[in-house]
Amino acid sequence: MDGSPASVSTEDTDPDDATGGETLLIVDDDRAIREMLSYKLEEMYDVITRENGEDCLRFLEGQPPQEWPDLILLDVMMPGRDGIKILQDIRETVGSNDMGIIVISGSGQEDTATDAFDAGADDFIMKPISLDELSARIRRLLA
Amino acid sequence: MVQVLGGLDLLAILGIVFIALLASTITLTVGLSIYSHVKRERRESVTEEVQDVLFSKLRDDDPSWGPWVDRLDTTQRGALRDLLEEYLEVVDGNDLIKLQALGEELGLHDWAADLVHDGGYQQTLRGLYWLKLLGGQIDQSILLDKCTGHPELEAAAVNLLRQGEDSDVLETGTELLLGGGSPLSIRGMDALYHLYEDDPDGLLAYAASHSDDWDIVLLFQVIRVLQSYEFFEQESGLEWLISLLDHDSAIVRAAVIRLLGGGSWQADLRYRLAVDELLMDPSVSVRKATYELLSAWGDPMSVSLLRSAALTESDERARMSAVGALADHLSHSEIRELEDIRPVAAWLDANEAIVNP
Repeated sequence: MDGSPASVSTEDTDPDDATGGETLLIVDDDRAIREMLSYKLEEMYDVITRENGEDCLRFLEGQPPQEWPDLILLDVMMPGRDGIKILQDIRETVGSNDMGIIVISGSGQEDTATDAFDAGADDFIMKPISLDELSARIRRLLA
Repeated sequence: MVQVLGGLDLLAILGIVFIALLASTITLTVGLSIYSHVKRERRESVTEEVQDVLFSKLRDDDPSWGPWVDRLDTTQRGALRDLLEEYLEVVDGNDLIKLQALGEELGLHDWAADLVHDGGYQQTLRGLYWLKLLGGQIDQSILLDKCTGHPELEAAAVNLLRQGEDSDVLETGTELLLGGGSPLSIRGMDALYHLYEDDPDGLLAYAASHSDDWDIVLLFQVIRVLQSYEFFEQESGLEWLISLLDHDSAIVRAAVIRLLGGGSWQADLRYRLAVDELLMDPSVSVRKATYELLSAWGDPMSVSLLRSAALTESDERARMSAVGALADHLSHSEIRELEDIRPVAAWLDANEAIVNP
């Protein structure tokens, strides 16, 4: 996976051109985020959502590696353990490096980007989220 | 017993009345509970229906909200407004623009503007919040009139102004936040930071020329905001900052030292600050801030001063700061090897135990 920050076009693409069959896991305690990201992404991907990091880890532990999602959208500020710690746990799992992870952070948390990339994130995006830009970053990572 | 109506005694009557009241209260409570439950279920069902249509239309390049909105009943509009409030907070780009257009179609912009025009404190705050979500604006004279003197309203007004394109946003925003000379709210400090994000020298210059009449808390807050910027291009405010090192308030003096340590004037400051005097300041806060400043500079003279402070600082908290600052520049083994500062090794171990538990 290319770990450098994305610099991508935000042009809309024809859904017929989108990659298909990949699974995305959205991990965010904010229901509005989960719903908005799901609406945008479920046309092109299979979308699973979880409300916190512990649920995310439990989900992954319950799946064989070949059934893991292709990409995780992981919020930083969540109840319980924050997204960076969850990211570290995921990356310490054998075979997880094939799984793309985009960290989502709230505004005013620019320093978190460094922590996220150090922990193994492939990309980083801040709220409020441009869904077109996020879609483009996901396409780039899954390509 | 007291015989009253038809032979019933008073106690029996009171008992009947009590039971009747209890029964009616229970009936009312259960009835209200059932009504609330039904209403909530209906609302959830409506929200789900509205959400499905919302997302379906949002996928279109041009959702054409009008015809759909015109057919919505009151409950549906209410559910849609609640959804809109959540979604407007979290998205940007094309989807934000489409959702803001939906808000316009629902009449929310006019509703929010009316809240600001005619409402009391809470309604004005809510109106400003919604106008910001909707990308709306309102006449600056109304903002000044309604918000001046109320820190939270001032902050909300400035955040609204910032998303507009008026050329005098900086002037009006500064007037709102700093014109009265009174302390800011936490949101006000954030609003001030963002207002001058592209022109930190402008805030420094404004503070230098206007701060004489400020509340001391406001002065401290503005210095803290200035500290958040990483780079200043001009030296015009530097003399003013240096003059504040003689301020009566130790909090202000310490804040200024921290600001000077983080700014872009380091090379000049080493020859312009009376560091010896700062190290002798009666305030522990000021001395601690000075140790941080010396650590930030890190030149041989500064490290030498830190070595001396680590040995001679009388306050234990400040001594820990000096030792921690010194440890940024000398390894533990170096500190143990240097005879003159070997005694601070114990302090170093204590500092290490705190930093790396």
